[in-house]
Amino acid sequence: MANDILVFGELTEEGRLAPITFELLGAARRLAPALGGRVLCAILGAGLDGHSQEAIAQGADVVLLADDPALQEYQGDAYVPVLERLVREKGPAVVLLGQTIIGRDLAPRLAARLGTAVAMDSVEVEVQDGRVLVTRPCYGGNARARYSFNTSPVIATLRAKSQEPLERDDSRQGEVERVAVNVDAAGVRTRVLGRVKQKAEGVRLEDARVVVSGGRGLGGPEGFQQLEELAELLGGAVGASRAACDLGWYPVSAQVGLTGKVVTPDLYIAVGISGASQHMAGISQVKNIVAINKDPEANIFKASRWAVVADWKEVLPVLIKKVRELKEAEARR
Amino acid sequence: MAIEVKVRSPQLRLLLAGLSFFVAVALVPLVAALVVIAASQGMGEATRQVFFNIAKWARIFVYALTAAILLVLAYGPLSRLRLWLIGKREDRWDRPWERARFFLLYGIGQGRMPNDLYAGLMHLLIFWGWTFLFIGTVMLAFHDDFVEYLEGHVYLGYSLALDLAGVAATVGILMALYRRYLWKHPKMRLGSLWDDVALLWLMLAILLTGFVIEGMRVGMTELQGATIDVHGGIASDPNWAPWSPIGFLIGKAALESGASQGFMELLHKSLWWLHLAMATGWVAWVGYGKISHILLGSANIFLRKLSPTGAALAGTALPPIADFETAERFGAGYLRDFTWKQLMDVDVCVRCGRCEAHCPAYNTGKELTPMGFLQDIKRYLTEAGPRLLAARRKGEEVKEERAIAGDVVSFNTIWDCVTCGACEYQCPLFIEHIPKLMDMRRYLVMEQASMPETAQATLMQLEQRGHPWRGTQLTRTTWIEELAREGVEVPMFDGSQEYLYWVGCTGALQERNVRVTKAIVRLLLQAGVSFGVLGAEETCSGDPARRLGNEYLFQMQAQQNIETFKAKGVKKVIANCPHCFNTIRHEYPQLDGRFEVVHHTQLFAQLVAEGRLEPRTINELWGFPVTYHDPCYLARHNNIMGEPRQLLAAMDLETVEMERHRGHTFCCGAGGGHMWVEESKGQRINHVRTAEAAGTGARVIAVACPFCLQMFEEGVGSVPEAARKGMQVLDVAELLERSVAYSRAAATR
Amino acid sequence: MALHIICCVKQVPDPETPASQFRVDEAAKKVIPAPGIAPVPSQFDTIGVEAALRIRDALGDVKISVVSMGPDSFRDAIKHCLAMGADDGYLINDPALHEADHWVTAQVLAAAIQKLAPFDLVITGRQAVDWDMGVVGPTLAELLGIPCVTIAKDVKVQDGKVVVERVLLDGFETVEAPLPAVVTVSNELGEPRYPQLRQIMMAARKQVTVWTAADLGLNPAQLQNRVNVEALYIPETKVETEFIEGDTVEEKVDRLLQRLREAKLI
Repeated sequence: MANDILVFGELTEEGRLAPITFELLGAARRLAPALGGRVLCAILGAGLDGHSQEAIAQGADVVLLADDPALQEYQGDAYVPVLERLVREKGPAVVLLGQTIIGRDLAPRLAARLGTAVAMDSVEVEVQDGRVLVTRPCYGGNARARYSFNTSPVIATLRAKSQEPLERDDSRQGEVERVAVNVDAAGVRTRVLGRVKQKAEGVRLEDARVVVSGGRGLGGPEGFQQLEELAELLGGAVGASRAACDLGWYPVSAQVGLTGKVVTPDLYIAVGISGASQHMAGISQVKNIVAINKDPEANIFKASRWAVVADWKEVLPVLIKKVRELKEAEARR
Repeated sequence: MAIEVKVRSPQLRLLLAGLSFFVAVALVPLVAALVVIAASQGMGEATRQVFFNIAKWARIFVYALTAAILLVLAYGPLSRLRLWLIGKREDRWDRPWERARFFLLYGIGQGRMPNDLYAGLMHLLIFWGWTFLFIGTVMLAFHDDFVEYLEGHVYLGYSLALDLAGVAATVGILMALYRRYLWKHPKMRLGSLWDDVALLWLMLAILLTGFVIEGMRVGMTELQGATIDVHGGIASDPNWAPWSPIGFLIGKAALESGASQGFMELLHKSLWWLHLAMATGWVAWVGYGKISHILLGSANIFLRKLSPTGAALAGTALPPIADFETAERFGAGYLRDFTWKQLMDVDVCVRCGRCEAHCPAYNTGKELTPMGFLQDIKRYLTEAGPRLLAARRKGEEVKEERAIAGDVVSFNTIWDCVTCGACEYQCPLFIEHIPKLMDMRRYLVMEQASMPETAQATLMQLEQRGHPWRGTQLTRTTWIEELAREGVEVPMFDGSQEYLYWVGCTGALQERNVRVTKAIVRLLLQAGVSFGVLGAEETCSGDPARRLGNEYLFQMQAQQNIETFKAKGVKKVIANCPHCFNTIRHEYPQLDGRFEVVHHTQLFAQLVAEGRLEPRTINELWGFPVTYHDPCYLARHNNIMGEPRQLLAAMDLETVEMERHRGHTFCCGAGGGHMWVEESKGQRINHVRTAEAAGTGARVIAVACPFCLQMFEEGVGSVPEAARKGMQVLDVAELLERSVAYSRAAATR
Repeated sequence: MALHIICCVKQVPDPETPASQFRVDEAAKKVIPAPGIAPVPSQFDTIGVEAALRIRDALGDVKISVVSMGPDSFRDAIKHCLAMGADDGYLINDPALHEADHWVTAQVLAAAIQKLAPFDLVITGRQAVDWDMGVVGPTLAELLGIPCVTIAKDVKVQDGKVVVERVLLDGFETVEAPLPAVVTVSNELGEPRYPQLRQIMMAARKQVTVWTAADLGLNPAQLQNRVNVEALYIPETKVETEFIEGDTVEEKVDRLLQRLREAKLI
């Protein structure tokens, strides 16, 4: 229907619904009343089972399952036509995708095929006077732009963590519809030759959403093990000040600052870093800095959103413990 | 003998050089003559027989040999000259009188030798001893062939002076042998080729055989009153003998030990031939080995780079690339890209190690060693030069030629240099290290785009944003707006003011340095100096681009500034950054931008002297010793060392000097673009220097350069002994502003 | 037969403009250029040119064309790419296109690319660093009807195919596509090379071909934007440091985590 919202349900590598899907469903659910439509969730994959109920519990009214071995792994050439057909058939007003590796590839191509437009990496979708408006950061986060659309459907990708998922409600009812897929093998022009996991290296510092950095205040290389633990829990990377690198406590490749790397995470946790200008140059674009330092006068606090005046040796173990508890609770959800 | 005594003050060094010159040229002969006249009454006949005990034909033989050996000698430098001419043209013949003066001062005057007192004294003894013996030999030949003037008092004085010269040279050689074998001085690191070692022993042998020959002659003639073959035969006199004191002692000892006449004759005769062989060998060697510095070094001092603007070192103002359109190659990548003078430099080096001993890169464990890279080029010049010449003569393509930049001289060597000028400042032979390294950087950057990551990022930053401070949140007018909010109006330069205050990128764009900029402006306003600033119209002076090898970018930036200056009617410039100061002063004239530049410490020293600023003791710094760090580009490159110290003295601050200060200062590590380029390996230069400052017991490091300020700020946080003391780093202007504020407060009370 | 690679590039306001200098004209919905801060080539686009140059380094016989759409000032970005080593530059400069959205931009670029045919590979940055949209590359692929591989960290051409290492969250996958194809590149590919002076001088002399929409056979009136910017503003980002209070470390950590969750950061 022309008032529906279609959510692209993304799966994790293990084949479960990804957290971003729940966030998208939450956003769609909140948007649905204003549009007066339903929330559809399209899930593409191979061997889909049990996903429908979970999607419904998280807010979907209708789950569209496209189950085909050809959709086992994401391939643009396979996914785009399937989703294109679904959208054409169901005619939603809004299509929401996650700003993920898949969403970045899929959304623009889908929009082009459907003859409509897309807003990428959005943080807000709303309806005003019957029009769908999408807000997204631009200019490296310096500005925000709000878009309206001249074509339909409105397609948007939403930034991870920008939307609150609903509380899971297993009592919710919904429809499940299996859709025929018929992937045209000849239409899949690309071929995946192999995948390489680089888990050991972790997230690249420059790309990390979260960076945990240590400085001279750590007093030795041992402290960095705790930083690594915290960074891993947060899916982030570990950085270091020049002082710490100079002292040989951490590899120079992780140096953040004027002569090191410029990083732009959403969250920067500075532990035992005083905040020399040389270091600050590397994090000038970062909006959310948490500083943990013993010295209440430390320069780093001036640029920090949150300041914890305490000995890192006491703070970090507690922080790690509590973050782990949070993550475990999240995983159970 | 682990202590090296170094003479810091340039005046004192010149004085010592002058003294040695005076002692050698005037005093020794004078004293010798006076002593003779006073003590040798009635010895009017005294003289000696030349070619005593030697066959008559020997005389002809010696002349023939001399002629031959001079040809052999000349072949050496000429063969090297051919190799130098692989290089490009360069004019080094301007201002000959000034060149002659430099030659007198630093060549004959040995002006830079006393920098290292032991080595300097050692060299002076050998140099003057040998010179006198050489002059004496020529005098003797003249006496023998033309006019017999070495008679009576003149002869006795001559004999005494030459014996003393021999003793001096022997002492010098023994000092050198001691330094090499027992002291094992680190400066000898590269100086132990067979050439260097054999030379010392040969010279010692020449001296000792000379003394024994003299001893035998004195023993066989004067001491026995024997008749000598002069004027048809006259009787010699034992009283003459003490005027050849060493010969006298040896001759006497020989006689007393009962040596037979036959033995003495034989010994004399054989040693005479040996001495002749060794001496002629030595002369021939002058054309080839380390000892060739007698000729090449002298020539090099005469041919040194002369600056039209008074730049102290060759590396102070880098030579421009005149025309990019026609340049065959940008910078120096291969042998032929160097100038003939640059190739001559590598042959001049005697591996004395003075450059290395003062090089901040070498002394913090990096690949660069100034004498080392010269030797590398020399080796390749010797090996491949003749092949290249032959190919050029035949008009053939040169095959398998190695690049100098990046191959013969390693990438890191070229990029380690902080252009501090210590090597050039120390080199007794005026070798010009920095322009060579910078020419190689130019080649790597402009031809190869091969540079450290951080250098590339800095050059991109300079190109795109006109300043080197990536990620700064300040603009060139932020500090002006901040001062306006405090009620201080900063005048904009419009041509009506006397001075343009050139703030510089660092002074405007780095929080810490903005404090210095503000202090300077307050002081200038207080003193009623007529000045203005350019604000947003300033751009980088070009120093970092030039020293990071992008000459093209430098010329664009400099050109733009020169145009702005001219359009606004700038005549005089105040700069607080010694790098900007240096570039505007010495390098803008190359692009037809001639402005009078003062450093803020110079101007403030003058204002204090004129009473326009009245410093007072800063109470909270009472009893806190201050140590002043000489910025390389102020002290070594521009000879400005007194004014900052005058200011500190005027503030009544307790000062203490670091071991390396004034012209001998040790770089903070930020020169030559290294403010933004990561060091390749080893200790951080700024940490070494901070530790040195901490070692003085000072609590405050006074600086006069924005980069030094940054480097020490980082250093006092990282070097434990500095951090423990809570050392402060302050620009001299900041100290002065505080101090003047006291007098302001006092005046209003 | 020479391989022909077309790189799409764009000039953007300096992304490193100090935050205090970043201003927006909310009425005009445009960014006000910061005084004295020159625009720069969008970084991902120059990385795209770097990718093309690396293919040329490997294969030798490769022609690289640079295409840009924008006002005359965009010439600087093209010149920079020519200085890096690209062969030809094309600028589509038409006042009617200055308000183009990414859809219209893709239309115009696709028309230009077709005019430059035959071509083997189109490379764009993963996104332009002004609007950060990341749509033009994949849209081009759709318009040209050719395969697309996004967010590449390595691009090679082998046996008539493009082999791309595509960045994944925890590694990368190697994807192969037949030519011609579109590839969008990411910063993982590495720093763009520093131009050699000779090439800067050569680039300065090179002519940039300028086209209008009509030259591409397009009628601007028929090129309709699909999105409208309704508002452009600077979000409140003033850093007000909150000192996390608490009697014990536990309390402080709890409070900190609460704040981070409120801000949706963890």
